[in-house]
Amino acid sequence: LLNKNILLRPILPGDTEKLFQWYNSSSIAKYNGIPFRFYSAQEINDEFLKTSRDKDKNFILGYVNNHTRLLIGIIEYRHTKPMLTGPEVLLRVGSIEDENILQYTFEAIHLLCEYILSDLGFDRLSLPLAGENVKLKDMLESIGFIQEARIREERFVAGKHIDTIYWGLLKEEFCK
Amino acid sequence: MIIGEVCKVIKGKNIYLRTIEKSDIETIWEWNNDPAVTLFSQSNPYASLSKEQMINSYFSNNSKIIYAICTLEGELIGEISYWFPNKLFKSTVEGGTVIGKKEYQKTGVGFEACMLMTRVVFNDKRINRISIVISDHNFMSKIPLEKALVTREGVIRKDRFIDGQYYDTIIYGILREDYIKLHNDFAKFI
Repeated sequence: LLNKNILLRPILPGDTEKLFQWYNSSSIAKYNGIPFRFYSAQEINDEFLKTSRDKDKNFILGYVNNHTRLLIGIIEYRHTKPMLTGPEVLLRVGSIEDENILQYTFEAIHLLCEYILSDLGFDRLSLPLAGENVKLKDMLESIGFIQEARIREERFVAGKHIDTIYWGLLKEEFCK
Repeated sequence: MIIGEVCKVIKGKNIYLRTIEKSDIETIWEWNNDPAVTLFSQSNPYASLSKEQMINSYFSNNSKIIYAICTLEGELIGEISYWFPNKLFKSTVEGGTVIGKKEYQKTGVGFEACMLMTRVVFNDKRINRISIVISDHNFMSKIPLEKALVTREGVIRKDRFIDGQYYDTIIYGILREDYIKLHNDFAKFI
């Protein structure tokens, strides 16, 4: 999947070194609102390259800067319960120093929404994000996302309890 | 799974919670195959498990803690469990209750079991939050939760498709600080 700035593609064996660095960075974990812990190279390989993963229920894509071809983040798709009308999408931003990272992340979300709602034909998708992010909020609202729930103190990150904001997008509201 | 986690009995006014035994599986299997029960209790109401699959799922999963709900006379009437919905967030658990014996539904025992489990989670574990996630049509859970002023944190629109209809999912949350504040109110039920 491709647009002007972003390419969404499956994770490749060559990505695991970068993922190992990201997953073992406390600042990246904090940026993403995820508790920090150490990961072994084996765990990273198992997590991203395991062949036993049921691709209809769970897959992980990387989003890549289309100009530099560098991996800048990952998006996980989970649809594990058959009666749910759409998947949950989980983000982990890697290149947090990049000044355009928010824009690129938004474009990656937009591409995936199109794929999930138009190609896979789901009725909705959910995007849980840690805490407030005013810029991203405006971007998400511009494509029809609505803040559906605030899960109070769901996460404990860097010594603080943080809320999870649950964003939802219905097919009929996508780019209405 | 850590069945009941410890072997002690957790006693309330009308019910007690105890560890689940293999001999309970026959009864639980019947509940799991009764659409009238699973319509409210399961995320996938029409999923069917064999007894062997059930034993595996109950006794070899160590991420879910399950208790049997019994009357004070010892009759098994339901089950209650909690688990970590996201393995990264160790301070949050999600809970679920099933009252399988129909004559005990809508009598308040499910809510009493929920309060007992809340007590165990907050008094014996370093857990900060319990989430309760139900479908909008699950009035048997919704009414007591709202009566007890458990905070409704959001509505996930058109999240489920069951029996030809779309339903919203409702998320409730009980924080440790809510539990401390509401302790006396909760204690009324148990």
